[in-house]
Amino acid sequence: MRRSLRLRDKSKDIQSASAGPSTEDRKRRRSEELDDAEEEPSRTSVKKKAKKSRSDEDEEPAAVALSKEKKKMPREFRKVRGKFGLLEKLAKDAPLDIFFEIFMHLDPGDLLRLARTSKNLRNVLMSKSSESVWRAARSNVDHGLPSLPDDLSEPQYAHLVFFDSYCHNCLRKMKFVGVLWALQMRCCKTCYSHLFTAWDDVKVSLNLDDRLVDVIPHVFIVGKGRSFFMLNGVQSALND
Amino acid sequence: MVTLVTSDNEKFTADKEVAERSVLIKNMLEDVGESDQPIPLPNVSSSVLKKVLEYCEHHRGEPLPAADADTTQDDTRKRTTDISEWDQKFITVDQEMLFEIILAANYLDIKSLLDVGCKTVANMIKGKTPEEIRKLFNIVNDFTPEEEAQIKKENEWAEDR
Repeated sequence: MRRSLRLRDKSKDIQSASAGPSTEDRKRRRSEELDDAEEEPSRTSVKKKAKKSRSDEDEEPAAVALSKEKKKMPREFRKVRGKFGLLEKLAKDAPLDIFFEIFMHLDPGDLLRLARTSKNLRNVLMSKSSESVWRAARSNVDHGLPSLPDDLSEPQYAHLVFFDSYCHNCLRKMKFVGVLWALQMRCCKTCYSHLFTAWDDVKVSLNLDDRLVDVIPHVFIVGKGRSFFMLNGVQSALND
Repeated sequence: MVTLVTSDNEKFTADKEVAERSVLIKNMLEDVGESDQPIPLPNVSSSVLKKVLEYCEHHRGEPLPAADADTTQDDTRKRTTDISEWDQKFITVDQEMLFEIILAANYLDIKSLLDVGCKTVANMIKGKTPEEIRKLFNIVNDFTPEEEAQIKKENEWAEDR
């Protein structure tokens, strides 16, 4: 009994915190979720005792916010419970409109992160028919961002602008990863230093004409007062 | 008064004004005209209808959104994920109930309630890492480690591949 009350409180916590989570809230919640994961075995066993008939359905760790106030559910609703959580059930059983209605409230970074949780969600979100959702999500963020370039798809743009800061080259997470707009990538300092070369060196190693300097994608580093080039980028630009 | 019958055969009575916040019920009442016949709601269970009626009761008398709400209004509705204090308390339920409420609001055509439900789910997702989202919604990670590294680079539309 004590446990179920506590769980109910927790689910309230999570709900109210999710309304406008500050970073601290989020941290706290994260640690709570970890707590929950550790407690899972004991909780499942309590459940098993209480409701033996449903034990195999509940084998999967239950979602965090799932409390126990649902004894009165009629049988036909119980069927949909199974191992699926809220999102997957919505994807499976609800009209796609509802799914999109939810996504309308997110930003492109959220969509991209969702698309990396499971194959199911990825299929829905990375299908071209979801393009309008991405567009709507982008319109939720109004920070005077550069508009979507012609040669990038919505997810690619989200990857460049909104996603967690990791280097697109080494995939490591970094505190600061610069967006290189001209090259449409994010890059960390370490990769930067061995990916990029000054024009003089590029020119010599590929035997290029100075007039090409402006038509090849490059990054101008203010601090160094000159432009830098990516060797394989130069090669592919030349092939084009 | 209107009588509603749920999927598990429980009868609920509600003021017409309250029940008619559901566009589905409103249309049904208009179709049958003045009659005391109970309205069957085969897609809604008693526990969910109780919740839904609680919501309609609280919001009774508020203007219903026009069916053809102009787009500017629609835009602002989409932009914000703010939920009023009462609604927030109301929607503080377990995920199972949240799921049922969203489905019921969609079926009964109660736009504002559907909105509250969808915003709540959106708020749960916002700002979370894929791992956190999986944990919260009990999503099984079915990517192999190789696939996971691969999707970090792949951001093409699926059909383009």
